Amino acid sequence: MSTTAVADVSENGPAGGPWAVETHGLTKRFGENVAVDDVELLVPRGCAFGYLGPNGAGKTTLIRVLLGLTHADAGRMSLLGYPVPKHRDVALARVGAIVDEPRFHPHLSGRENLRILAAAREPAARDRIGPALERVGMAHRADDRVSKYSMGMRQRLGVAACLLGDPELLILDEPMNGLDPAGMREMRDMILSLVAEGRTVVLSSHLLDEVERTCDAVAIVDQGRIIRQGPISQLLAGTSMELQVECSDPDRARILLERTTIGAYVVGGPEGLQITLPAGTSRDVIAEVARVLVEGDVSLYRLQPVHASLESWFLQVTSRLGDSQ
Amino acid sequence: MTLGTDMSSAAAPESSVQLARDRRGSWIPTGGMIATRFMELRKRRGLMITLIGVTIGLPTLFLVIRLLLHAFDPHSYAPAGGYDIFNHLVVVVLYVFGFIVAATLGCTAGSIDLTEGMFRHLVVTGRSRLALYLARIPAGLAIIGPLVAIGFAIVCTVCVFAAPTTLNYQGVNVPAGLSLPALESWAANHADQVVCNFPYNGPIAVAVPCGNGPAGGPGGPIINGSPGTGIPARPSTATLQADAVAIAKQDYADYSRFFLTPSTSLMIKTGLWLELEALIGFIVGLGLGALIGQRTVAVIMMIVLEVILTPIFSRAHIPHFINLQRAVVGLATAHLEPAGLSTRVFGGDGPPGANAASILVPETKLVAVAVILAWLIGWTILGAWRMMTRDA
Repeated sequence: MSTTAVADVSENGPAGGPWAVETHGLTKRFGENVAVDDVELLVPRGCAFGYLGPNGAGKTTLIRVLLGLTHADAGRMSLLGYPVPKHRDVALARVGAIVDEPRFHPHLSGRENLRILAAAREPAARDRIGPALERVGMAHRADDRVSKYSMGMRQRLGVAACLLGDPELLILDEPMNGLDPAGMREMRDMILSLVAEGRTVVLSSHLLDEVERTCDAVAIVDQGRIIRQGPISQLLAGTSMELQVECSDPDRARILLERTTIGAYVVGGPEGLQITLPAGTSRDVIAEVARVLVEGDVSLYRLQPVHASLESWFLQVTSRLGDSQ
Repeated sequence: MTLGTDMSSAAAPESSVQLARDRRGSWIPTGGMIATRFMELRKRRGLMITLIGVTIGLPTLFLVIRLLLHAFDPHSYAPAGGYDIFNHLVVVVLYVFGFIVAATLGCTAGSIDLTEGMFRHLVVTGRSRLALYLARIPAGLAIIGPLVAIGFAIVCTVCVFAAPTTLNYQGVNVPAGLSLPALESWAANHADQVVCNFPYNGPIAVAVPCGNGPAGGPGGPIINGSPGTGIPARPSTATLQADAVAIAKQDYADYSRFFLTPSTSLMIKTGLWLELEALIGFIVGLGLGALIGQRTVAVIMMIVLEVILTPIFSRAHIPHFINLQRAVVGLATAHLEPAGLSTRVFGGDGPPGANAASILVPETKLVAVAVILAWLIGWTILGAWRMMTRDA
């Protein structure tokens, strides 16, 4: 792979393949700062894909490189099987994207802004303006000037702009920004409905809970590099299991559990004991914990396995990375 | 939320044939792109008020005031129109301010997508950036061209239909637009005024004694001398008429240069010249706006070019830099000024038909045309290049 030039994934023109987005060794530098560092990203078609990372991790820069808003310094990439930048126009014809905060001509109405964007797309895009506005719930304000829109309304208009091209791939950078809880729920439902139609949605967000509810797979990016990627279920399967215990004698329970060979790490808290079990622990251990406590004359009021969340996993992964450095 | 029919369909990729028909990578902008760009510019209320105010409002206001003044006090105030007013409005108002507002429109069109965040949306459509840039040219010209034309048409209308009815030539009120025989006929009927006021170079038949002036020269009315006073006797009427006709014949070329109203051909040439100036202002402004990505700075630079640098470089003959001066676009357009205008761009007043080169840094018309083409093409390339390479 060339380290100085951006080449196409396929030199032989457009190709199909299972990936909506594919990058190999993608690198983007701003002077000494490497914003995107040798990124290998594979986004499957027809799913909601979360792209997660702390502030400054390089999420938006990667999206900008993919969309041709800025050039890459090295690496290869393709969108919907079309190598870019070679077939950028064909690839982007089926891509809709919001990058950063969506901004529009403030003196024009939402509908007029969409007319400008539709004119740059295929002729059929003009007929999609009305349905797109309906779909994002902006039809009633479509003829108001954008300068009167709230941040959340501009987000919705940005999504409507994405839909003008009847996209197969949507890339949404922080689409929940500025939305109220009801708006976030509507956005989540809309993303899920888009995926249900067979489209691919790449979602960059800080809201890990929303990503977990919406996405099928994620990639974690930190300091420009992707450190994990895959289906959420698989990624979380590798995390430790946690149990919360309420009982009559927490100190005795702690001693009893530490004597066993199940490898539990027990800490006390205001809501009882929190037991952390190693990754890969069988669910039978939950019954073993109950048995040990009951046989040790500890009255057990509550024993609850805690589902490992994407947020806790994200913090584990990123903090490990920080520790190693 | 409801689903649109089109978007609720399965998202299978369209055929490559349909995408090919789309010609999204083509550098040629579509009619829709031009139309929506036109709409975007037209709906900028502040900008449009400025454009209309300068290109139409200023000359209209000036002419309306003159019309009213003349209507209320025709003895103190001359008619609103006429050739002189046409000259001054064209050169001082429409030419200079037309360039500035055209440049302002160009700078806006060149930079506003970037500053208002729409550039990114447009690039993501996959449309050729060059096409995005080129769409702005016809859209902007469709705005500034008609505005300049309307302003100029108003000036022409008033200057033609509210022109003075007589021409003051050498202090004598003379009907305008006379042919040579008509002027000779008029001179024969006004022999005293012609003989004593019109300039002439001899020989004419007799020395004519005019009041308040030397015998044989222009001055006051003819007086009848008597023997012993040294003043010749008044010639016969026939002699005077013959002299007047001879003088009229001699002065016709000079007389014919003065017009009550601008001629049709002069108005057409001047209109095209003003449109050329607006075109240059818009194209250069567009390129500069796209190049630096900032409207205010670009507009200030264009005003400085038109109001300060161009007049200096057009008139001051700077040794060793004369060829550089010739590359100034304002000088080139000044050299293309229609010859029938008496007011010279950057050069003050002069008789109609005077050679602009006598005032300005000399330049042939061929060089002037080459300079203008170079500016138009060069700035278009610069602006398009920046748009194609800029991070969005």
